[in-house]
Amino acid sequence: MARGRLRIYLGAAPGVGKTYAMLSEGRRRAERGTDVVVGFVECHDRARTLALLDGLEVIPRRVVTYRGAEFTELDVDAVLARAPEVALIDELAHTNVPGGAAEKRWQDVERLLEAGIDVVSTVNVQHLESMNDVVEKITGIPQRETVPDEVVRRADQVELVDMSPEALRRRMAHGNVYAAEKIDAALSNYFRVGNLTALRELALLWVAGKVDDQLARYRDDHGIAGTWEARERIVIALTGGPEGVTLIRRATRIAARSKGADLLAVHVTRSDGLSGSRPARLARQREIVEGLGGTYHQVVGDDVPRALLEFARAVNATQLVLGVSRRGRLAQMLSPGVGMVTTAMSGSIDVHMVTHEQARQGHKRPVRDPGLAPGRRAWAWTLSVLGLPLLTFLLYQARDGLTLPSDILFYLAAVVGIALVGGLWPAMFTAVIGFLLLNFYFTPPIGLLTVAEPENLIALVVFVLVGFGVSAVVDRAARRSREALRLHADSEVLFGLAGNVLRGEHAVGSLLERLRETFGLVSVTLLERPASGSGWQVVATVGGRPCTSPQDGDTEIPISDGLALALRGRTPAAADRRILEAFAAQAAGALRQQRLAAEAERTRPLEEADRMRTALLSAVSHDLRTPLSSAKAAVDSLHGSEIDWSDEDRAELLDTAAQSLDRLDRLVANLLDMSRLQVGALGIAARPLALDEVVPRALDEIGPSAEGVLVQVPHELPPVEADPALLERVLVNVVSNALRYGPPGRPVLVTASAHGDRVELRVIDRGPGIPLADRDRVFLPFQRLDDRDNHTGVGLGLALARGLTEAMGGELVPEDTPGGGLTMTVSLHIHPGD
Amino acid sequence: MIRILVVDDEPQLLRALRVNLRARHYEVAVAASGTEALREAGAWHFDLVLLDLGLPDLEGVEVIHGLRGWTQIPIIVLSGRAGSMDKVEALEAGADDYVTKPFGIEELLARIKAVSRRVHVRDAALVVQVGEHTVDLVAKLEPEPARPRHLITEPGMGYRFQP
Repeated sequence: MARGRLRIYLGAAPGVGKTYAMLSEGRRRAERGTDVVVGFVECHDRARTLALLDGLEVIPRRVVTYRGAEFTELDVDAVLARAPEVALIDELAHTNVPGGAAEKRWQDVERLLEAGIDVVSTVNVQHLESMNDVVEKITGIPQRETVPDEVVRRADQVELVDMSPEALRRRMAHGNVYAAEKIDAALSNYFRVGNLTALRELALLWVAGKVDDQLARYRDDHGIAGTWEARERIVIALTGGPEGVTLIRRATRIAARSKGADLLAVHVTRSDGLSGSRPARLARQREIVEGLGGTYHQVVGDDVPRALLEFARAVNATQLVLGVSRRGRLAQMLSPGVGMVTTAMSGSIDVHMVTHEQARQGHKRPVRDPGLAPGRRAWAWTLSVLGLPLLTFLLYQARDGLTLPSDILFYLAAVVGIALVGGLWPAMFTAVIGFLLLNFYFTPPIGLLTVAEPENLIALVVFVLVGFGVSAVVDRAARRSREALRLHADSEVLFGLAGNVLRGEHAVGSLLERLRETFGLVSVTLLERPASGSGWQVVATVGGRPCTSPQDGDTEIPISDGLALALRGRTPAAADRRILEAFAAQAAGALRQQRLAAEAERTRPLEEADRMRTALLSAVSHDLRTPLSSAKAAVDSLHGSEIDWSDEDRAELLDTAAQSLDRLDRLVANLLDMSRLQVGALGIAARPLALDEVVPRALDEIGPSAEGVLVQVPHELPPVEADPALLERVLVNVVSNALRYGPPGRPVLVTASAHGDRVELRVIDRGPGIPLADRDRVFLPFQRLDDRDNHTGVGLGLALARGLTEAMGGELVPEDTPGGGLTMTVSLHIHPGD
Repeated sequence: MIRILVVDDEPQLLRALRVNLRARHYEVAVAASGTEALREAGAWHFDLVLLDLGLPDLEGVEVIHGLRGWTQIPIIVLSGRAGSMDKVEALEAGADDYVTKPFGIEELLARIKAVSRRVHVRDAALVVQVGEHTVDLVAKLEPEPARPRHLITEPGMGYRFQP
């Protein structure tokens, strides 16, 4: 016969709904036509659970008499005889009353399973044998009823019935778990949020362990290897071209596929400003990226692929999204594009080449400066030195067909060409050499550096002059265009900087970071020299090791007498100085702004304190004056002789005076204690103390209003470590507070119990309670700031109680009373003994 | 007998004042909150109100405004607030006197007498004796003010009295 299947509902604590879940399942199965019986269910008189039982077949329990008392147990034999398909059996960990066949209920269940009956059962996590020690540590209660883990682990299915501690406590507060009169005991022993949270964690971990086993088994069975991928970081390379938006969209789609991927857009500004990008377009793309939750970065670098990859590696990128080159086919054959180079160098970073509408349409890239790049100048010199002999040789061969003016024009063309390539000096050199060559080879007398005809001499001189002129003009134009490009690059950076400021990222740190990023520096430090001292102080720094003085860095940018920016990492070109100074000025402005804001922030609490002090004075003066004026009015009346008071009136006036003076006395005592507590001048004489002695004394102190307080402090509690006088004051305040808010007819309850190395004393009222948000506020002294309320006093009571409790090494914690109201728990250390 | 309403949220003070005022043959009613005070004052005709400013529900000044909306009965403020701004505010709102707590009971009684005296003079001036007729200027002159029957305005004549 096939073994029955075991399904277990596992819960963290009683009342989370295991039995309910089990019965619901039973009903569902019964409705589908399965033969379901209830073997054993403990409903604890919970109405909704009982309602579920309705309509299910219940096997009568076996009655066992043990030591004169009657107990009911699961009747295994009856269930076996009935032979249902499914049996519902609550509390798997239950220990049977001696006398039956099996010692434990799980052994009964085993028998049913062996008989081929499916069993649905429940178990609490604290009943698992392996959890026994931990649970005892958490709850302070040893578990006698346990079930071997193996039994539960072997179950075919384990389902967790989960409920948050707060929800469970709410359920309990509504009386859904235990009968109302049992609530306080259950509360103080077990259902503390801390306990419940810890138990819940245990249950979750236990189930997670089981789930892990199942997953491992599943993976073994199906041969799944490999791990989950790490977090993705996607870098988008933006050129500032119109295709950027397409790249961003594409990258976003890639990011969406892998959970929690980061999106970073980067634009490489070339230091020569030749990127041909449009700041407005970049700004727009930046907005799009930031709108999608990504970040925008700008780096400076001449070698675009290298700069791009350096950035990508620095941010730990996993993927890089590039646009396919916009250049034409021919240009691509001449030199590999940025995309190709990047792909070749990318290493572990995946590179996505994204096609877009602008691909292969070519783009207007600014013409490079012909005069100044050293490579170009060398090229021009080479061209001049090698080209002129070649030109001369060719023209010499063709001298029969060409006249001198044609030769001069050819040389002139060479001069202009070289001026375009290499600027002024190679061109002038070419002109001079050209003059000599023309003179030597093409003007009679040929072979000599003399000119026979004046006309030819004039032509040659004009050639040299024109050559010089053209060189100068071409060189100047090149210079101008270079400057324009330089300015363009600067303005691009400044545009980004202005954008930062406008965007409100005026924090000094973010500005410095942007500066560091833009110029690829190691560290940027803002230094300040205080007017009084001579040394420099670091105000803000980003990147690596900060500079401790302006001279310490590779570059120093003074902002004002006492403020300077120090850069480390590389020396920016002299032309970048202007930009750096703009950054420095911005940083100084941001610093000033930050300081003003901080200053404003500092004065705010002062104003607040001033307002508080005025309000507080009025509250304290009210609280002192009110009882004083009643007492004075009463005593004055008695003192005056003009009226013959009746005995009754006299007694009433005396009572008024006495009560008012008592109140005054309490207030003054509290004020004195509070001030002593605040200056730390409180003498604590802690000694072993029995709570059942202190509690009645405190109630005596409160007077007649405390007569109705119910006290349940067991005599056998271990003594606590406390100062008797202080603990009495704590209790007076806490109990007075409870009495003040407790409604008539619902007496305040004082209970005590031991948990681990602490004794918890609970003062339970059924009043309105305190909303969670105000829990800490009630412990602030002087929290009442007007004279409108005569009952709470200046809020010293609870503040003092907490202060005194903490001074004795204890804790005072407010909690909800189940069913409404406030429970104040005073938790004190048990006296260690001798 | 002069009826006094004492408004304060401190039960002991209410008790002391009640005993004292009764012994001096005043009739005393007490209220512990602003709304209760306004309700009492509306339900009964009082000759004087002793009012605390710091009440749990309404500000004392609001109670003064509430009372002054329909009655001129004298109000003496009893308050622990000793600042001159508090006094000015209460007096501006319509209080007749201001006594700071703690106070001497004799002083309070003397002030009650003084305020009552002033009110009597004021009330007396409003009753005019014209020959054989007594005109009470506080009382309503016409039962239906919208349709006057005794004091009629006529063009060219001004007011005309028609008995």
